[in-house]
Amino acid sequence: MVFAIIIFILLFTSIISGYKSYSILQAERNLAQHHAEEDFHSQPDRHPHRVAHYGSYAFRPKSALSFLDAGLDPYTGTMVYLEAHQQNSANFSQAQQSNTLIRIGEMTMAFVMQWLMPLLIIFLCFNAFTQERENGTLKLLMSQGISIQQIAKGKIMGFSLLITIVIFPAFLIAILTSLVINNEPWNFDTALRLFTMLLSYAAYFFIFITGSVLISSLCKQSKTALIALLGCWIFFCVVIPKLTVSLGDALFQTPSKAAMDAAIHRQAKNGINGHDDQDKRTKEFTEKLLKKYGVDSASQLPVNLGGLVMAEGEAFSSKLYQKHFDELVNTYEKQNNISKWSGFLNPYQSIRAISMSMAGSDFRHYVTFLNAAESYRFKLAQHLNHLQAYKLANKAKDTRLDKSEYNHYPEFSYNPPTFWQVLFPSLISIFALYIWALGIYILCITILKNISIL
Amino acid sequence: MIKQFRTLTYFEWLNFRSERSMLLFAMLILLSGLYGIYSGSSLINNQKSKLEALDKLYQENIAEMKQKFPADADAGDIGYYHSTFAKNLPDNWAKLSIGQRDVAPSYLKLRLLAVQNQLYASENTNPFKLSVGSFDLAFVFVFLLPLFIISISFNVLSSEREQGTLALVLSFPVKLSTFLLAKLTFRFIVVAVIVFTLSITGWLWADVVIDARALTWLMAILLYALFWFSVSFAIIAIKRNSAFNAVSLLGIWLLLVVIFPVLAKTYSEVKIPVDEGLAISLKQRQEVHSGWDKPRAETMKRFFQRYPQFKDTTSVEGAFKWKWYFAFQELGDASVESLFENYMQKLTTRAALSANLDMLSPAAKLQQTINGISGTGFQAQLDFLLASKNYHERLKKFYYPFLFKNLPFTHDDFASEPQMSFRSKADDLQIFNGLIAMMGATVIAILAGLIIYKSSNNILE
Repeated sequence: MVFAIIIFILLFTSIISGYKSYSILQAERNLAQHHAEEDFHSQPDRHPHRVAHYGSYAFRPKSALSFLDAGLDPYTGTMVYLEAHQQNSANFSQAQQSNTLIRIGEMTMAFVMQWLMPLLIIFLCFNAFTQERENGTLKLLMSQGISIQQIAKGKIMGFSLLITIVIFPAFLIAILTSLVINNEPWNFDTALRLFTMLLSYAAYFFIFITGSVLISSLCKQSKTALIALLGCWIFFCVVIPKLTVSLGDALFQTPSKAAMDAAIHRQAKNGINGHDDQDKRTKEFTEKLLKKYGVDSASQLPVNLGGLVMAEGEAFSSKLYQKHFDELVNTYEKQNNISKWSGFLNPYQSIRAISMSMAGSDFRHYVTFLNAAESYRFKLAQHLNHLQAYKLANKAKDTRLDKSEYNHYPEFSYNPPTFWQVLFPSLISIFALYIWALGIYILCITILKNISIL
Repeated sequence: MIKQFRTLTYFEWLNFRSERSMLLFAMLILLSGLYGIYSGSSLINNQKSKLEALDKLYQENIAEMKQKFPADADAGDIGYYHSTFAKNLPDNWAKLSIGQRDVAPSYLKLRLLAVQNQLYASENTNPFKLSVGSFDLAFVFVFLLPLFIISISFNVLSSEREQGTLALVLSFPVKLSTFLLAKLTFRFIVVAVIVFTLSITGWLWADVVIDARALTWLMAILLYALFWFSVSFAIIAIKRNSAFNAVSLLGIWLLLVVIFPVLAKTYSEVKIPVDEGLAISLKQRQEVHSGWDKPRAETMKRFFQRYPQFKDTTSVEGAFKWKWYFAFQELGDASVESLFENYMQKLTTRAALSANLDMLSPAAKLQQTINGISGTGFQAQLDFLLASKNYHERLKKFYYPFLFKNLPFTHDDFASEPQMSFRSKADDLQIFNGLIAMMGATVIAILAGLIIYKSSNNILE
């Protein structure tokens, strides 16, 4: 009972604190994004290439449900500076800006549900059988013709009901809070995400309940059952996740940003195969252009050569960057896949993956944002290069373009992946979780059929 | 009394050898410790090899510059196209406690351009990995060692009672307190042996310089172990059954190792939000780029207020001049100087707030102490940031005379470009503060244990 109250209080505080930090961060980013747009739109007349260097910013919006599970958000950059010629890193992650001594999680609902709830369940269930055995009431029950299986089923049902009672109000509060956060009318996508979370957490708790009842039935003493269960918890929730992650890191190496940028620069300069350098590409491009317009010198062109050459260069280097970036992401996914697949050994890792992907704070959501930012950067740079090409033909280098030409450029906006897009990659984890739930239930029933419990 | 004590300890040793669970736990903690040493070392070695590779990139960049500018160059071209690195070299101690080193970048790529646009760049990182954190030796000591201590001491009395052997022991002329003390002392020795073994293995493996830091390291960890033994004693002193002891001790572990630090961090972040970083970026960009639109003379006048030694430089009117460009880069940095100070101030205040709240958690204090020893704490991260900014100042000092006195930049001049490699030192303040906090907590736990022991019922009732 005491534990139930503690958990309820923790759930409640975690939702409040999750909401609080969500709103602070979201407000910071909204404000910054707003300022950045205002700055962009109030530029004076400028040469388009000046505007391209002035650039733009992408601030990563917090997803609506991230107040329930901050996931990777504290470790991802919040701001990308988008300028011509170069792809900047996402900067100012929360983790870089605070002194995190104990890196175990944020005070969000996910932390309580994934980490602390299993402990509550263990504390509740460890003596489910052992106590009855120690008090001699087990014999009494059996003598009334109730099979051990029935007792176990009853206990699992009872505990599941109890946990539901503890969790339900918290989830209700969570849903209400998410209604407040979504300024727009509550959409179906969010509902599906919440629903998937709910079903997954239910399976997760069921695994721990059944597992605890099983261990309790196998142990002679409450003490032994408790120690065994706590050992499992430490192993699953503390040790294995770190082990798999450090293993992934050791197995798959990634280049430093400096090395990656240098490789891109080298390839852009010398051509991908080393035979097709930048000067040669520019020369060929110019000749093609002269031919197309039927003139013999750049000054006779009806377009601005510099702008078109830059657009070519931007397209070439951006493609290179994207290739390297995709490789990098690919390596990260390989690293992370070790954790994903170990979900079949460890339900904690499955629930963590499902929960943050539903909350919109997992790796995939982050990469989607980075790609959206890069694609916006590329389009903006090309838009400005084309303005230079077609509006500033045969003009001096320092000619300024009227600001009305570019200051209506649409601002950065980002569409997070939809529920269905994130559901598919999460299926492995969901599958692993349900295999566990089903497997442990069947195991429990089979073992208890063939056991003499007294 | 002493003899009794020795006999009891000896019997505990026999007991330990025959009892499988305790041996198993000891093996587990040793294995995790070894893995922690391996994994921490491999992470830092990885960082080191990436840092070493930067030298090659630097040389490549210089070669490219020499090719691009075969004769004497305008220093402005070099300042714009050439980049150098501010390196944050890890001490080998960092292998044992990664601290902030995986979160914060271990180098910054710098050009002569406005520094405030370059100071906050991030390294390629896998956020999933960062969120789970590293499995270093520090993790084993901070997280797992208390669990080991709890698991070998929670039932020292209760199991004897539950097996019925306690009455037997107490029928001899042995005081319960001597008996309990002997048992706990024996276990403390086991833990100390494990701590020594792992630490020495770690030092040798990580190839650290063994100096006063080694002594502080051992002191901090043994003090932490003592704290957990005191807590165990306080719970044992209530003289309830094994299950009660296990649940209470694990509850305390959860509270002190996990919940308090998480709450402290969350609270400090909500209490002191820091958005200066974003503000710096926006304002600095605005200021730098407005340089193109402002009258050149005005820009130069403002620049000369900061650098009067260059006010006799030739005119910047007419065709594009790099020195004008770098003058407004400089002014862009100057415009956010106070914001930057605020930013650093706020980060420090926020860290101090969470460190104060962490007084409640000896685990956080141990982590703080060994991060301090390894030079991997938050302060070290900020120190590197400041050092990088200073390095940029040195670069300016080197390049500005070329720029503003119109001196040609020759190929030989690359050799005299300032270099920078930062290596953080042990942070005595953090270490001292952490040790004091742990000592305080240990004294409180012992006193509480004694009071509980005195006031609780006879064990055999």
